[in-house]
Amino acid sequence: MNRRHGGLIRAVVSGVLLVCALFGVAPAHADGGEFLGATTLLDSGDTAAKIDIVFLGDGFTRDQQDDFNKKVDQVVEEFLAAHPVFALRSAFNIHRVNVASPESGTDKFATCGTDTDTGDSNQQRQTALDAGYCSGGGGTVYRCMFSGNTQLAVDFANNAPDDNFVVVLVNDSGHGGCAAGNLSYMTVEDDFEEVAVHEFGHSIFKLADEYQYDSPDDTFTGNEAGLRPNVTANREKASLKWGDLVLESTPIPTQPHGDDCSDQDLPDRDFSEDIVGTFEGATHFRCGVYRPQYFCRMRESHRSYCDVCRREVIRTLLQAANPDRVVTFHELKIKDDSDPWPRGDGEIYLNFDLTGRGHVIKGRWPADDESDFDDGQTKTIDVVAGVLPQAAADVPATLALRVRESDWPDGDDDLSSDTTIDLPDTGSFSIDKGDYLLNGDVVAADLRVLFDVLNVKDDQDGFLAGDGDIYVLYTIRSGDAVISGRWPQAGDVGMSDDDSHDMSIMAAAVPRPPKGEALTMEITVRDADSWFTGGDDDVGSATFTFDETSGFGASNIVHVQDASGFRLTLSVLGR
Amino acid sequence: MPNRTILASFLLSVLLAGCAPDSGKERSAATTTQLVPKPATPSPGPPTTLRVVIRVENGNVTLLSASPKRGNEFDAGSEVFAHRVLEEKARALRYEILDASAAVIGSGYVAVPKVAVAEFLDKDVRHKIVRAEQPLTSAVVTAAIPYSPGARKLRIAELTPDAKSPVESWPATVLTTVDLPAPNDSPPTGVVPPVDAPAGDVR
Repeated sequence: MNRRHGGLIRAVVSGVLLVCALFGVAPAHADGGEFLGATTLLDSGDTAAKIDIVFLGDGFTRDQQDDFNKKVDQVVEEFLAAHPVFALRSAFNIHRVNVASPESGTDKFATCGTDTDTGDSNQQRQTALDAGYCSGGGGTVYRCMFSGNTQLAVDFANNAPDDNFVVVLVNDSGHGGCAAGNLSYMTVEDDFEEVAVHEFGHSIFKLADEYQYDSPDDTFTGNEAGLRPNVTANREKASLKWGDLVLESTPIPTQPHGDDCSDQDLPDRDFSEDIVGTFEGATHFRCGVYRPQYFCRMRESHRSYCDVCRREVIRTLLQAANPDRVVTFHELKIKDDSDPWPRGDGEIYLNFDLTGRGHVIKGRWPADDESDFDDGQTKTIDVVAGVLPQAAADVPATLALRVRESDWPDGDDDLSSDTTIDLPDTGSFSIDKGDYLLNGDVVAADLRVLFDVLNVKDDQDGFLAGDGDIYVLYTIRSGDAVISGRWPQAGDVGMSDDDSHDMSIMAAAVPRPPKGEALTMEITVRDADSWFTGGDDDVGSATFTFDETSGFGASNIVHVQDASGFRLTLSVLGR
Repeated sequence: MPNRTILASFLLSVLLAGCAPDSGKERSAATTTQLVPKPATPSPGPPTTLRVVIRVENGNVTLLSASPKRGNEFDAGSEVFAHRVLEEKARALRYEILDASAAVIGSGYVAVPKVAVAEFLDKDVRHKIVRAEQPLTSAVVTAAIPYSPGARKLRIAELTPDAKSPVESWPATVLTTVDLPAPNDSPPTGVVPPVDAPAGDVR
């Protein structure tokens, strides 16, 4: 509906809605929109304890609901995969409310007040939520994709079990988005899902933008007290609010503009990407205010959250996250390796599905290739198979297991029959079949260890010099719990000297160590080398120790570990 | 002789490779996670919040409805709240929940936005975010406030911000007081249609 000529109609519709509200009638056909249903995409539990996000669509006709569903999936996938959100996804419930619009698309205008750079011609569409460019009431920002009647979105969102945050996806590929309060509208332009996750940085995690505008008089003159956790005007290292993440060798300010703010060009990055300090230019000001790292998702939409933002994300989500369950495979015995002629070691791999509370984790061990087993051989695996939300009392989580022996040319062999078992809420489990025995356990994921960023000081790359082929082996111990792992799961990552790389993994989820004992992490960083050059090189090894005082829990979360040969930023979190 | 050297080097290399540290291929499982959608249903249990729907239009604040719901109040916290109000990015409302004897049994703050913030991707530079603000002259927004079974009335006041004093000391002007449904009058679980809409604009 044209926002400029639809006032009378909108008033009538609003009146109808008000009457509906008065008498408790949910709007089924508001502004021509038709409510089609509400779906929960992620169910982590009671809405009284969770952060509920609702997605609505505008300008999607009944026939375009699949398109809308796919767009929602795109955002949800991006958000839940974002580091460290993925490790605390159980803080969220996510719902989708399908609403059919009479017409496809959105309202567009050739002009918008003084903002004439629209690139569009006039177009009016009757849509369920009445979104359009140049909206929001001010009529001065063309790219403000909003609605003159936000009550439509508010009422449709009420069909979800709860709605802490409402996101309206508008069926147009132009650049546009606008937010007010807990309600935001955005077009489905290319990379829109990145913008959505950036916006969640504001709305859910209360983070400031870390980008700036480049005008010479754009100097911040406000108070530190009003700044969000990820920006600061403080130039003193001792009192810097993220000072615990700054290395002794890092100067503060780390990367300033000139004193008179005259250098209009952004300074090139001259510190490693993982370095935390104070980089001038943030929260829309070019000077006088600093961000903690050179790059961040709050600065550029495709980046990861920086260390400080990550810490805020974790602090926020820990309040609402479930005591998830981590499923670990500890020991595998192959009784009959099914290896055919010529007789030798069987080349064994597992496929498995962990299912619980609306999640299906599909996995394979080893991550690639196979593990050689002879008849009767037992191996200690100690791998995390997956982390599931705590199951409802009457619906246990399950493990479906398929054990195979890689064979050629007649195809892989099955070892015994495929099987599915109910998993305990916590405790050990065992699958004992004719050809194999798998032991594992389910434990409460009290502590989660995230590996955030790796910096390699010397890549150890020899002949021929180039990027090192880096991989990391780790063993994490907490009391009796032992988790081993590798990053990346398979292969390696090209990194040169003083190079940083996002690791973005949950390395382990383990019980808290017994009182008086510590959580330890043995880390080995290697450069993969061919046999021709003498095998893999050690980049560095270190053991990091954490206890209640040095840091895990809800406060001291992110840690920068500066070891010989490498630097690892990691997070240890637990309620 | 040269052939023997090459062969020896080859065998040595193979031997070295064989003795090389474990590359750790068996230390990890590759996993992908899928979500299984299901029809949305309310969480069981009594209401925990009031879903307050507020209209802001041309400077007027109207409480459209306050309906019990099973949810939670997830807000910005008082520091962010005060800062946004002092920046004139939001209006400050204080709510008070009254019991049958008109005693205040709960209170808190709600920020009602005064600006719409546009953020979108730059048309020329990929991944670069562009931002603009404009006054929000008309919007309906929601807020969740705690619900108590003993709640009988909801009083809403607008606060006049004062940078020199804490939020708790800001002068308040009562906008409206509305009746709330008795606990038994509302469905016990999640999705509840608005049941109480007070009169129109209050100032």
